[in-house]
Formats: sequence, structure tokens, C-alpha cells
Amino acid sequence: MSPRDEHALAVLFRQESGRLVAYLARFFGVADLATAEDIAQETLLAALQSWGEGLPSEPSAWLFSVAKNRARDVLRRRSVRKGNGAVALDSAELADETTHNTSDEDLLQMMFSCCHPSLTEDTQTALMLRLVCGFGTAEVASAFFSDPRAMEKRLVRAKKVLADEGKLFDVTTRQEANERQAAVMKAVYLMFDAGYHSSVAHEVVRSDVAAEAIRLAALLAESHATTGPVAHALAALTCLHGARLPARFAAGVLVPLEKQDRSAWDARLVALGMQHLAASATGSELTVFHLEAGIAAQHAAAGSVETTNWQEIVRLYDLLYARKATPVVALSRAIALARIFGPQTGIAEVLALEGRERLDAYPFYWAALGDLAIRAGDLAAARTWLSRGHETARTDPERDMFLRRLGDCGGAAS
Amino acid sequence: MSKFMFIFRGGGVTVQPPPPPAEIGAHLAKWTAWIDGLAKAGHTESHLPPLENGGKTVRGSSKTVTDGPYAEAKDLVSGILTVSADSIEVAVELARGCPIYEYNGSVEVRPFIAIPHSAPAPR
Repeated sequence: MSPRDEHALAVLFRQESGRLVAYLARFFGVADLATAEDIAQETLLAALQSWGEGLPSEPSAWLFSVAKNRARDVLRRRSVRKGNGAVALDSAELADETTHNTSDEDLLQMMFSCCHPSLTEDTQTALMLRLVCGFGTAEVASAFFSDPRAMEKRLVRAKKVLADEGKLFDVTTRQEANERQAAVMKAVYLMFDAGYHSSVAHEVVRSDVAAEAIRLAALLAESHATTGPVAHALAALTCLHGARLPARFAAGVLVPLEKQDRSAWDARLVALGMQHLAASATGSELTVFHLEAGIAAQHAAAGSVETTNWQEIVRLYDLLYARKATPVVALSRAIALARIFGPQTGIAEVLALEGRERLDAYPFYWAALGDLAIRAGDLAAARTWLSRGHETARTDPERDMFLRRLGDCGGAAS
Repeated sequence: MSKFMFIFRGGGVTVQPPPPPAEIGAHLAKWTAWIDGLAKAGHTESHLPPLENGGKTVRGSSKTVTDGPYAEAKDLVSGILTVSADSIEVAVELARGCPIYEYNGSVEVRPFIAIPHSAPAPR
């Protein structure tokens, strides 16, 4: 990595921030996360102060060692104030130098702690982005279409819940992990979704959120207490969908699947995703993650829209709908069906969707109808639907997508 | 060539509230690029280790020692660097390339007094 690479350093600092907070939480506990966050923050500022002439050979070790010294100072001061005299902090943990081996465990502990059952799914994910992944409040807010001040309040309340719990969630054994594993996987899934589907103002933050979800999913799939077919399925789906991200946005514009430059798909992530998919096939359980990963794998393996195995994709969507009967899944199924039976069939399917009215505010519903109408040669209908979509668009990339497609069929509906 | 001291005040390391991690990382990248540029163009004179934000101040005839430089964040000396340049105008131009202004910091450009080399002793 070139030290001049702003994005690489931004990502490094974010990830190290999460690792530092998770590590420091060992000493200050969930009841005093504020101190852990403060020390992590000071440590990064010390790096800013010291690394101007270049990064140390082991940036991570440098940060952990500075953080550890600061933690020791804080604990010593507290100990003196309490009149304990002797300082019981050169304890085994503070003295240990094996921070690197244990930091994955720290991250897991913090991930599981963030998924406290009394928090909503969205809040669990937001908290994980903040504490485990080191995103700033404004960044977390933008990933959730939320106001930064509202998000700050939400995070403060969530941290209070963790503090009341009194201790970090232990993830040493599989039994312990089981209690919250489903919630943790769901939170990582939602994190990926926020990075993949939302089109927040800052494209870089969006793809960073998705990249973090891929990293955490891999951690779950590879750690002894959390690994298993379902964790591998989650990792597979994040990798296989994530592989398409570089082509999904081109110059800030959302590009539909059929127009994506497939050579821009991330071959490394495709390969990794396929490995996880193979590892996910060992159990007897067929989960939503398995099915979504299977669908993504079909796309990843196809050279073009024409050579895609749409029959298999429709079959997987049928299975998915049986487990997750949402209008969005039904919409995706109808789009796949149109690839087999033609756009007219697709339009009829889409208009007959169960719960269709819940999609009125969903821009991709109108985009799908518009695309199908263009392919069916009904430009008047396409203009009407794309204009509706343009009204529902939440962000500039989405609006641009509609304006572009309206241009394809001769302008907006009058 | 004349020598100048750049005295940095405030900036990313003292700003309140502190920037989020990603911003600190991106900001650091700009510092390394700037400092690297100065070194490559042969302007760098001396490298001093970075400063802690805290410290002690000794003041007055009573030589009272107080904790910390009690400056406001934006006035706190956050670093120093010695550079060489043909003129103060050139030095100021170099200072303008510093990323410290992103966080409302300042760079004081101070020429060193040029003390003439003593003439060789007559034989």
C-alpha cells in the first residue's frame, strides 16, 4: 500500500479503530466503552502526528502498543485515585504481546455484544458499523438514510444497553456462540445490504460498508466457534454479490445487470465466494443465505445475460420465496421469469405480485417495469413507469439511472 | 538558500471533536504526500520527532511550572519542521501546500537569522 493512498489509509484507520476498541474493551469493559473509544481515537491521532514521514513497518503493532501504553496510564491513574497504591495492571493481559492472535477473537466478542437481543436489527447493525468497523456516526447515518444527530442518539442508547449488560459476550465455544449467532449473521447480512443496495451520497463509503460485511462474514465462516454451513453461505453471498460492485456503479451511475461490464467483476471475490459456497453445501439445512448465494453464483458463473441459467435462478427464487415471502423477492423472480418467457409475461407477473402496493415507493420496482416495457417495445408504458420511478428515487445515482433510461425511450412521460 | 522554521498550530491532531478514523487516515495520506514532496525537492532540513499534545510550561520570575501548554486547540503548537528555500516567498508557497488547513490549523513561517560564517583565521 502506498502511504499516499488516501482511501487505503482511510480503510486501514477505520479497521484498526474497530480492532483497537474491541481490544481495549477487554480492559475497560462494555460499561466504559467511552474510554476504549477515546483511547482508540487518541492512538490514531498519535499516528497522524508520527507517521508524516511514512508508515512504520508494522502499523498495526505500532497502534496496539501505543494503545496499550495509554490504557496502562489511564488504569494506573484510576488505581492511584482509588488509593489502591499497588497497580494491578501489569496483569497478564496488558503485558501480553500476542495482540495479533487475539484481535479476531476481540472482534467476534464485540460483534456478538453488539447484537444484544433488546436492540432492533438495524440498531445492531449500526452499532457494529460503529464499534467493530470504526465508521464515524455520519458515515453510519448515511448507510441507513438517517440523520446524523438521530443516529448519534440511537448509538448512545444502544451503548447504554451494552453497558447495562455489564460484560462482553463470550464467544469462546460453539455453545456460547449459538445463542446469538443467527442475530449476528443477520446483522452482517443487513450491513452488506446497506452497502450493496443503498445508494448513499458517498459511493466510497457505500462500497466500504459492503467490504466490511464481506470481511466480517469471512471471519464468522473461519472462526472455530462460529464456522459452519450457514456462516459459509453468508460469506458466499457477500463475496458473490460483492464481486459485482465495481461494475454496478460506473461513474456514479447505477448500471443494471444486463449492461454491466462483466470483466470488471472482482474475480478474486468470485473465486472466494465459490469456495465458501462449496463449504456451505455440507449441512442439511437450506437457508435463505444458501439460496441467495446460489442465485448470485449463477450470475457470477455466466458470461452474459443470454447465457445465464434463468431456469435454475427461477427455481432458486421459488425456494427463496417459500422462506422469505417478500414483494422484493417476488419481483426478482418475475424479472428472472421474463428472461425465459419474454417481457410481456414479466410485466403480467409484476403487475400481479402479491403485496404489489408495498413496492410503490421502491424505485427498482418501477425500473423493472420500465425495462420490461422497453424490451416489449411499449415505450409509452415505459415512460409512464420510469417517470413514477424517478419520483421515488432517493438519491442522485438513482435519479440519474431513471433519467438515462427515460432518455433511452425518448424522454419523460408528458 | 535560507533556512526557515515551520511552526504548525492546531489542525487535525488538536481539532475538537476529533475527526472519525477514516478522515484521520485520509488526512495522514495528504501529510505524507506533502512531506515526501518537500524531501524529494530538497527542501527538508531537519527531521524532529513529533510532539505530544501535553507538556509543562515554566513561566515568570518565580519560574512557576504549570501543566500543559494552555493554549486553545487552534493555537497549540502541534509540530515543527525546518526547511530551506530561496526566499520567504518560496517558503510561504511551500507552507501553502500543507494539509493542516483542512482542520483550521496554521503554519507560521519564520526565517532563521543568517549568521555569517567566521572568516578563516589569518595565518
